[in-house]
Amino acid sequence: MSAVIPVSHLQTLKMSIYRFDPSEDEKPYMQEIVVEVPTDKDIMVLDALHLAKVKEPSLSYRRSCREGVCGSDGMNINGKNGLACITPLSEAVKRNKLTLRPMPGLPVVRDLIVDMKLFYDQLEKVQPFLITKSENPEKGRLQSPKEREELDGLYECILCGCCSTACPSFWWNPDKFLGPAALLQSWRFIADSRDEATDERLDDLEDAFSLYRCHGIMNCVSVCPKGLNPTEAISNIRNKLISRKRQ
Amino acid sequence: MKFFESGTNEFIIIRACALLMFLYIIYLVYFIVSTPVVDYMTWEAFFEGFLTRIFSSIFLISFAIHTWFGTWAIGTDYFTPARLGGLSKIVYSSYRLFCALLITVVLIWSFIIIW
Repeated sequence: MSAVIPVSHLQTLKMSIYRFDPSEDEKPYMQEIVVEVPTDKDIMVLDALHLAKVKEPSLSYRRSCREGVCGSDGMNINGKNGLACITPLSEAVKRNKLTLRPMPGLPVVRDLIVDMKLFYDQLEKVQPFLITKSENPEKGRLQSPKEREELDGLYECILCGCCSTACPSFWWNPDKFLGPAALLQSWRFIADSRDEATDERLDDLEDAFSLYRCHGIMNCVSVCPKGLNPTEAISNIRNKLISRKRQ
Repeated sequence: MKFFESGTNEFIIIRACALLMFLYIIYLVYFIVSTPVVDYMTWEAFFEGFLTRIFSSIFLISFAIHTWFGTWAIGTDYFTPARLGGLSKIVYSSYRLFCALLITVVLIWSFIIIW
């Protein structure tokens, strides 16, 4: 990048990046890498990471679409989870310093790459697909526009893991508490007019951990890069469980 | 599913206890605001009243139940096998025993004072 941008349009940025290679390092450490970033445009954290990787080729992180769709580059950016590819430096950098760590609460594979198995295991438990029991209709399972609207704010989740790994309840009990991402998906299918397994889905959430470990601190809402509201989804499921009790 | 294994039952019980405690606080605040002079004599007379004793007892029972569930949540957050390994079971059991004893002592002691 510095080859095409005049030097006068560059400024230095101090990056502090979490490094850990289990085959070489005994324990993790923070590495300071100084990069030159353009002043005339607001590049993204992912662009800054690419600049850091030029200086330190062993630096590892996930990335793919680089436009906030694939959810690969979720990481902790200056203390707050987010997607590196859609977080501009102007928003992330504080006092000319950018600290990048892997998403908290999950085992680190290497540098900024975490093992997402716990996250996906919880997602699998909510059966994130339509379950139907009735005969398949000839023309498919139709929805009214209003029924379809119920799914807005639910289907957009890209499973980046930013919300679940920002949730203390998920940190403490990642094997028992499903986490905001999985619960948002659970509500997405409970709320779907075409799904026919609402009771079974609710039965699976009735225990004291799966859903009720959410204490409503709303970290998930604060960090979701897609602007979704898992706390509201959890609250909707809880209301459904309570109203079912009354019947 | 057993009654106390249900998160929904637990949620309703905790909220009901919280509501009862909140109502008791309103009752206390109402007494303080509506009494022209709150001195030792009026304070003692208030707590000697039968209705206040009943309300105080309901508050204390709600407080005990709320604390029991609350400390359970804290214990299952921190005293897990992932954090404490093989020691987790004994640490958690000791912690719960301590909570149970403390809540019981506070409850009995409070009832002796009130009644």
